[in-house]
Amino acid sequence: MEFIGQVLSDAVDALFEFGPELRAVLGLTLLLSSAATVIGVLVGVPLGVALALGRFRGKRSLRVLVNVGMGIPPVLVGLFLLLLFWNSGPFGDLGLVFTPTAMLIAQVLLAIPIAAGVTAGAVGGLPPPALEQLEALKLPVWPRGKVAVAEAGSGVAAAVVAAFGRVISEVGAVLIIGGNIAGETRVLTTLIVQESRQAQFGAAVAAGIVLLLISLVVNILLSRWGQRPAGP
Amino acid sequence: MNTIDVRFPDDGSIIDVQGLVIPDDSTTVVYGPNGAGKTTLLRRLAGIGGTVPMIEAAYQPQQPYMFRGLAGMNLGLGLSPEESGLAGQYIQELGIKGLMTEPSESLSGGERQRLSLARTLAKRSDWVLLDEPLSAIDAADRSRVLALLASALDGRSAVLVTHDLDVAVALADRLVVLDDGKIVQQGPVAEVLAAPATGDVARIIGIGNVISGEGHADNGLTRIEADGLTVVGRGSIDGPARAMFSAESVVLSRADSAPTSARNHWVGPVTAIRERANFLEVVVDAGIPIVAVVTRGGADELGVEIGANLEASVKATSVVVLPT
Repeated sequence: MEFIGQVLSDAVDALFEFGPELRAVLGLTLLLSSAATVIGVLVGVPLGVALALGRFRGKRSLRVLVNVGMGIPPVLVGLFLLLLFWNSGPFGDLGLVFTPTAMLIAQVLLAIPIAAGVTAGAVGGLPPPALEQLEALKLPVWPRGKVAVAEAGSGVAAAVVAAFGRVISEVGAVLIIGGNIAGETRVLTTLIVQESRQAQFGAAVAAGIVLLLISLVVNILLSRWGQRPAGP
Repeated sequence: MNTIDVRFPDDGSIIDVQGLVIPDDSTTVVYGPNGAGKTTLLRRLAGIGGTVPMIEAAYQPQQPYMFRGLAGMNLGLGLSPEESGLAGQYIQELGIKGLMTEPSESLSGGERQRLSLARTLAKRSDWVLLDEPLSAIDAADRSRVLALLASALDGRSAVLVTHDLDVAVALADRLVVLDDGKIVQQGPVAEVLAAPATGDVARIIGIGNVISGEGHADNGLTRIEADGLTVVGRGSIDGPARAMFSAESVVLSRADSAPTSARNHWVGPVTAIRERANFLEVVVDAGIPIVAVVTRGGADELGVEIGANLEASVKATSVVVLPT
């Protein structure tokens, strides 16, 4: 117990100190996670609505792709991008290896299937009379999607929460494609990995607490949005 | 006049409506008991549930669904500004104009149905398909909804599904009687009502009395000798036949009252009295039970009670006779 007590006390010290490294890491984490969530949701939610309501060729394959993407291990996404962006790889000229841009791409790829899959479930799970009414109204694609998203409000909010949760908690992809370079590509999760490996448990726990707090705040904000009735 | 000739038992669907004819510029009412396949037919016509629409139409499902938001937002869904203007006029006529700033969740079933009706009718489409448009409307609002429907559908092409004969009679140009997924009769409404093709049709459209027996053509009329009584009706039929007449066409009077011009009159005791919405259904046992309807006032005057001896009469012209 003495050990755990010491770790916690170190963690509290680190939090109160909140040094420049932790600040930089927190900044990059928030920036990357929110940007990846926004892009992932902007692509994933319409994709999910299309999967739930649309009729088009290749829908079944797309659904399989989304389902696979929802569960794909992040390290695989990181590895895949690393191969693409590696100096001698097909996109090596872009010089993206170990950059925040590459990390963002990785996180967007992780966020899209989650946002799409949860949205498709929420919209497809609307009551049958709602789906029939949507069909009967014959709205053009975008207004129809808008009505469906508003109707499935809390379900779509859950898609946003899930996408954000996926990207902020993810470590494998950003570690591989970002390289965990201090002051450049280090985020909270890779910081925890780093500090743990060096037995700096107080700093690791401090980063973990920050991570938990972010998740908590985001969840509270988004669940309030989900409960608010839709409409003007 | 163009007609749509519907043929689709080709895909294993549960209804078989070979030869269903739906003329344009008129209102076709598909009438039948619950479970007859009316909704399935209408959904197929509209292309709801993944099939190709057979008619490009404004379609109103049986349970109009209100999306989250204001009632007024729901009213405008899918309507052009011009159509919205017309919908605004309709909601005024339907008495729900004041509800448009309310959240849609607060609307009752009847209010939702009226809102949906205003939206569907306002849509500028050649065809209108309506599934039980009055099923949730209160008795108090029925007549104005019917009036609006009648005027809004006038001159348009419409298919309306209902299990309510009043609605069917009020709105139909053409009546299609559906039972157990099959068309049992179709034609101009007056024709179908006046001459049901079969006993099933008679039962479905609410003709209370069906009497089978041996028919004898007799001077432009048919006399049917049934077990216990004789009925005279229209037509010239020799051989096994069936006489059908509605409970509404039967006149009840005291057994000792003066004779009338009606060709059929039978005397017997009242064996059953059933309460209906605005009237009483009275069964007189004249050898075969004869069903009649009377108003409550009429019943009081006559002294209708179980065991009372009454005369039931019906004009031969009200009796449809078909060979069996």
